[in-house]
This record gives sequence, C-alpha cells and structure tokens, in this order.
Amino acid sequence: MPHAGAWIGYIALGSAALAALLIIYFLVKKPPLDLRVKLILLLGLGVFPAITAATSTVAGMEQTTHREFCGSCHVMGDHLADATDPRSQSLAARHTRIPFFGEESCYVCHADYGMYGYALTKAGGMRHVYLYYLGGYDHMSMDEARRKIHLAKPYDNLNCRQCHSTTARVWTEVPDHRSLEHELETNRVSCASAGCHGFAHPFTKGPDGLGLVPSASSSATTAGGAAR
Amino acid sequence: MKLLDGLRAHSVTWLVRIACYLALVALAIMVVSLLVPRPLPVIFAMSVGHLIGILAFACYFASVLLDTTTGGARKIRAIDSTESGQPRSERE
Repeated sequence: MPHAGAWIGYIALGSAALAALLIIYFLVKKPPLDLRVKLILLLGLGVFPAITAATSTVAGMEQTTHREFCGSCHVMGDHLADATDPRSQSLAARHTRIPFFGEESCYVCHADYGMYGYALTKAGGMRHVYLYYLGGYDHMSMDEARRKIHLAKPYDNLNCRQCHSTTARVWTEVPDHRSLEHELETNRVSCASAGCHGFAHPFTKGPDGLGLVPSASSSATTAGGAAR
Repeated sequence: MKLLDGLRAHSVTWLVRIACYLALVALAIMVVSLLVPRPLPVIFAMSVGHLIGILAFACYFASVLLDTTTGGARKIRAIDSTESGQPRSERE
C-alpha cells in the first residue's frame, strides 16, 4: 500500500506551530496593521493553516486505513484481536500476517476497488461512524455486536482477486473453481464462505452461518438495525 | 464621515482579531486529530476544523478589503484637501 509517511504529520504539526506563533505574536504585540503585518498575517492565517489543513487531511486519511483505527470502536475488538492473533488460522488473521497487508489489513480487504473506490470506501466509513455514535453500536455488548453487525452488502470476490488472479494453474486445476467459475464471477458464491475457504471472521458465525446465538449475559438491543 | 471611518477602522481590527482566534481554534482541532487519530477527532478536523479555518481566512480577507477601501477613500480626501486648500465637504 502506498504510504504518505510520518513526515507529513510532522509537516502538519510544524506549519500549525508556525501559524500559531505568528497569530499569537499579533495578538500579544498588537502592532499597527501596516503592509508588513498584513503579510505576516497572510502567512499566519492563510498559508500555514492551508498547509496544515492539507497535510493533516492526508495524514488523517492515512490513519483511517490503519487496523488500529478500525479496531478503535469496541465492537470491532474481536475482529482486531483475531486478526492480530499469531495463532489464529482465520482468513483475516492469515492475510494480516502477510507483509503486503501489514498494518492496513482491514482496509486492503474491505476497500472498494475501482475508479471511485477510495471515495466510496470513505463514504462507507462515514456510515459506520454514524451507526456507531447515533445508531446504537456504541452501547452494544460484544455478543450483540457479533450477531447483529454484518457487512452492508455481500463481500465482493473482486477484492480477493486483487491478489489471487484466478488464472494460475493452481487455481484453474481445482475442480470446484472450474465448476463455480460463473458463480464466483457474479458473487453468487463467496470465496470466503463455509464450503470454500472459510469465513474471514469465523467467530462471528454460528452453526447456521447467521451469527452467534446471544448468550444469557447479553444485554437488550439498542441498535437501530443490523447493517447486513 | 469621521464616525464612519472610525467604525470601519475598528471593524478592521475587530475582524482581524476574530480571524486570529478562529484560526487558533481551527489549528488546535487539526493538531488534536493528528495526535489522537480516532474516528471522531479525525472527522471533526476534516469538517468543522476546515470550516472554522476557512471562516478565519474569510474574516482576514474581509478586513484587508475593508482596510484597503477605507484607506483609498482617506487618500482621495487627503488629495482633494491638498489641491483646494479645504476639505471637499466645505467646498460643496
């Protein structure tokens, strides 16, 4: 994954500090508003804040692709714990251990690929934030979260094919791949299903594949609805 | 006319000060989003933070415009006074 790097955060902090210094100088010293002061204020109120805004946006957007960011909402705690568990054999954990996925394993698998993929992924992320803070997810117990929170739409096999091209002999020689080629192409059968490569997050699935049965200790539902 | 100029002059100072305080708030919000990169601070910085920053610059820009127009009018009056030896209002 392309990285802007930590330096962009330092640029944002540096330009914010410079802007703040210039502004505080004006507020404390109260110099007459001549051309020199106007130019200083142009730097303090225009140029440096603009640099801060641009670089902090890039740094912020990059942060939103990090696994820790996704796991910062408590309902994703189990997903984060499983993905980072070195002993777990779930699809999510095995993929997280691949260096390419690295710290951004949630994003690499769940991003919408395509022309507007980045923007659409971020728009989808805004929906998650809405559901978390206003849709009742923040009051959910983990048991409820496992049963009620699902993908908004079926997982697209195209995301798997970003790496697994489905043209190598090891893939085409598998009889199930050949017989299900059309179904896989049209997402009628998911690569990450029980009969194929298993669920990416199997702890969220019960025997029926619809989620765990809530335990006796789980509290009453407060969510507005599941996001299947 | 002096009263209007006085008001304008004060508006300029007032607008610049407002711009400074707004910019400090916007910068603080953006810095917090960098230091605490959790969903709410990041989204807050990218929406409200940027909006406050734009508002700060708009206030600064308005103050510069106001100062320029006031300064321009003052210069014209000064030239008129120098040429005729008396203010324009007295001549009229």
